[in-house]
Amino acid sequence: MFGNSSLGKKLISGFIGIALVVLAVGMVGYRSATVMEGETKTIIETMPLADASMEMMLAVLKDELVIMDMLETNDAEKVEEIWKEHEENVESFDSFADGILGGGETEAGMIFAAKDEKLRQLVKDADEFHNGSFQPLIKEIHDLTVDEIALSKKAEENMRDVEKAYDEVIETAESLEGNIKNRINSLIAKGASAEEIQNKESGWADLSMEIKTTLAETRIVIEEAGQSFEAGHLAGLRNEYDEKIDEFDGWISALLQGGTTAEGMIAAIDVPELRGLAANLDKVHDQQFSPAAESFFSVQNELGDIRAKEHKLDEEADVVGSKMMTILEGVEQRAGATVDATAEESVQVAESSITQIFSGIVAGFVLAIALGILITRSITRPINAVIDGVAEGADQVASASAEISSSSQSLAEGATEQAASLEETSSSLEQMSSTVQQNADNAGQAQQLSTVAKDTAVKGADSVNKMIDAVNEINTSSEEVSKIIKVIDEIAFQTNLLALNAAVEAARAGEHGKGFAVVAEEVRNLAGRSAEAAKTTSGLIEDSTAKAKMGSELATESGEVLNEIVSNTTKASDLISEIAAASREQAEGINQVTKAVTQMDQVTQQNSAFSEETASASEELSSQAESLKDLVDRLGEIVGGAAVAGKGHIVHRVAGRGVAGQRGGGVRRAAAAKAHIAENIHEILHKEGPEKVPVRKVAPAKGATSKTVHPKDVIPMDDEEFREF
Amino acid sequence: MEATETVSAPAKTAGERLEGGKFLTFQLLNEEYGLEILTVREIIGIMDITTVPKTPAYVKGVINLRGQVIPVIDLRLKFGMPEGEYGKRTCIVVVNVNGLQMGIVVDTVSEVMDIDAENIEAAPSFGTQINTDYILGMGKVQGAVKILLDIGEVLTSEEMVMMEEIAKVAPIAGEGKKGKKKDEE
Repeated sequence: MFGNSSLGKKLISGFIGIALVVLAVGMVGYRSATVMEGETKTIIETMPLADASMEMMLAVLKDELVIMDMLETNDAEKVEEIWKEHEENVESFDSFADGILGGGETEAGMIFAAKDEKLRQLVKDADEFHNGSFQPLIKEIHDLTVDEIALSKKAEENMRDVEKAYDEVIETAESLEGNIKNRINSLIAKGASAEEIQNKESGWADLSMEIKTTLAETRIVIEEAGQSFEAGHLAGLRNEYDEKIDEFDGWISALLQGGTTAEGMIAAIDVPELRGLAANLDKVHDQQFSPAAESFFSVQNELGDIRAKEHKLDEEADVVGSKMMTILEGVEQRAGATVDATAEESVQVAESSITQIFSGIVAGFVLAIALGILITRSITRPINAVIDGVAEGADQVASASAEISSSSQSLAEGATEQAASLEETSSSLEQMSSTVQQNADNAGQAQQLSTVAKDTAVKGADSVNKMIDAVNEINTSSEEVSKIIKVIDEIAFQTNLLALNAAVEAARAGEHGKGFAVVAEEVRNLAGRSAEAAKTTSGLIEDSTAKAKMGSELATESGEVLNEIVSNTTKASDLISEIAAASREQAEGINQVTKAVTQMDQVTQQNSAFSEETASASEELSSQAESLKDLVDRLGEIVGGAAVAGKGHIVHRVAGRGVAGQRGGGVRRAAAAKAHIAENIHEILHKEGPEKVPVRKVAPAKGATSKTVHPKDVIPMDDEEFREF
Repeated sequence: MEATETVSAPAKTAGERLEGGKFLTFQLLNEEYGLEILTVREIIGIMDITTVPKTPAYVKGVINLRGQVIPVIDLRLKFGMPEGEYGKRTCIVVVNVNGLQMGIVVDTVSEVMDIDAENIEAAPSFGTQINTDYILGMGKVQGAVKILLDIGEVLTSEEMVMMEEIAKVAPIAGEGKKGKKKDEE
């Protein structure tokens, strides 16, 4: 990793690496802290939002209580108190809504404006609904309640009017009844007839009783209506009331004009005093009682309507309130969810940043130690290696230079021996040259002989071909002969048959044919013999055919062998001519070798001189190696203390030489070296003698003495590297 | 040499003790058979045989022997032996059977030889199931046995009638087939 860099670069890069790790850990911490700050801020800002939404919900709940109270109360002052309560609630609601939307101080503390667009929209919706639906509803309920209370008062007044009118009417009716009873009593006292009374006064008394009853019933109906707020029921009571009024009118008209009633025939009142009372009764009834009752009924009807409306609004308020609550719950959930999510995120960020920072610290620690070790080692190791290498190199140079000088000596001797050998070689080469010439001549003769042999083989092949033709002719003749023999055989068979027939004929002829039979037998014998001869000949012919065939095959084989001999002979002839040519070339080559040997002889003598020069140069080399060793020891002390310096092991063979380790000193030393060469040669030749040392390093031989002591060869470090130390 | 005996011989019937005399011997499936010389008319080499339809397998057909139509039977087939190929040595022995001339195809004729009466044994009996009437006897010659045939008993009377009819009918079939005798050879 730092193998090729300079020392400064290595150190700087090591520190930069550690600084980078520190920076990375710091950055991770900074980033995490920033993120967490943001998260915490979000939580702080969002928490009051949840509280505010709760407050808004509370305001709405209070308003619902306001509605209930308002519907229950009958007191006008209390209504206004409740209304104030409602206004406080509205104010609270609005302040929290404004707080959420715009930020600011509220009774629950400081609120930051919500940033969540959805939350804002939800709050806006809630506010709008609150202003548009919820508040107007409460306002309406309030107005209705105020109206109701006013009407209730009016109804009470009316009731009192009705009671007053009733008292008057009933008083009038009782006075009428009392007067009628008095008249009856007076009539009875005057001794009027029962029938007379029965026809007039008794009927009136009955009617006045009925009037009282009807009035009482009317009153009951009105009382009942006072307790009723239901429209249908009120209408029923109104009808009942109307019936009672009609009934009363019926009774009154019967008293004044007479007529038939449910009590029977009634005579009109003819007593002026009574008649006046009755008329008064009618008047009081029509002018006081009826209007009061009418007025009462109308107010009661209005109350009924208002109560119905209130009922309806109450139901509506339930619906609107629950809707309001739903919206606000949404707001609260939204705010709560934001808080939860942010808190969770914050915890995660904190955890991950703890892990990252911790691992960063560990990694940085390990990296710093590793870099330290690595850099230190990368600095000391190459230097130690260089020191070792230089020390070893100097050692080797010293011993090598000794070896070189002895080798140079032996080289000079060798060169002399070589020159003698070369002369021997030269004479051997002359001998060889004549031998090669003889070789070439012999090859030419062999070539001629092989040509003759080839011609002979060709002639032999021709003879064999002719022989094959002859054998084939023999085969053809044999086949013809065998055909002839077949004919002979045929004739013999026919003759045999004839002889048998003759024998048969002879037998037939009996005694006369006896001689003929003998002839026939003889003929038959002849036929048999000729058949036998034919058979034998046939066998012989077959035999000779087979032999001819075999001869033919052998001849073919001989022909092939001869052809092979011809081709081989040709090849041999070619090879021999090649040998002849090669021999000539060899002769030329040997001449060239002879020349080369002469040249070699000269070179050998030169070598002898050069090797002496080499010996002197190697002596100078030895002294250079010594001074190098001193330098290396010093370097070892600087780098690794005494331990490394102790490694130096060059034997001080050449004492009193100047130290040549300074910069550029090598070049000047090289110039000075030449002056010592002659001296060194002398020393080496006479002090150490020509002992044989195995040559490990051979310096260039041809006048390169100055190069052998170039500082770059001696010191394996350039100027730059030196400067580093 | 013993012509007197041979002249009196022809009237003999099967089963009687045969007198010695001259016999024409021939080969059939490597066995030697003998025919009384007087039953033999002529010996000829194999020649063209005109096939006559609707005849048994052993009847080979008819030949034209110097203008005379003669029915020919294959003795191998007649004796129930495997049919042989006709070659150069195959001969037709023309025999006289009860006045009818008839050709017998044999593998080859051997010779005319004398067999004495004492050298002739009666035909062996193989029981009643096997008819040996067509064998005149067994001729012993130089350690070998030659079966002497009574050619008159070889063919039954019905067969003889058929042969006669073939001989009568055949001339018409035989016409126009001359001149191709030697094709087989």
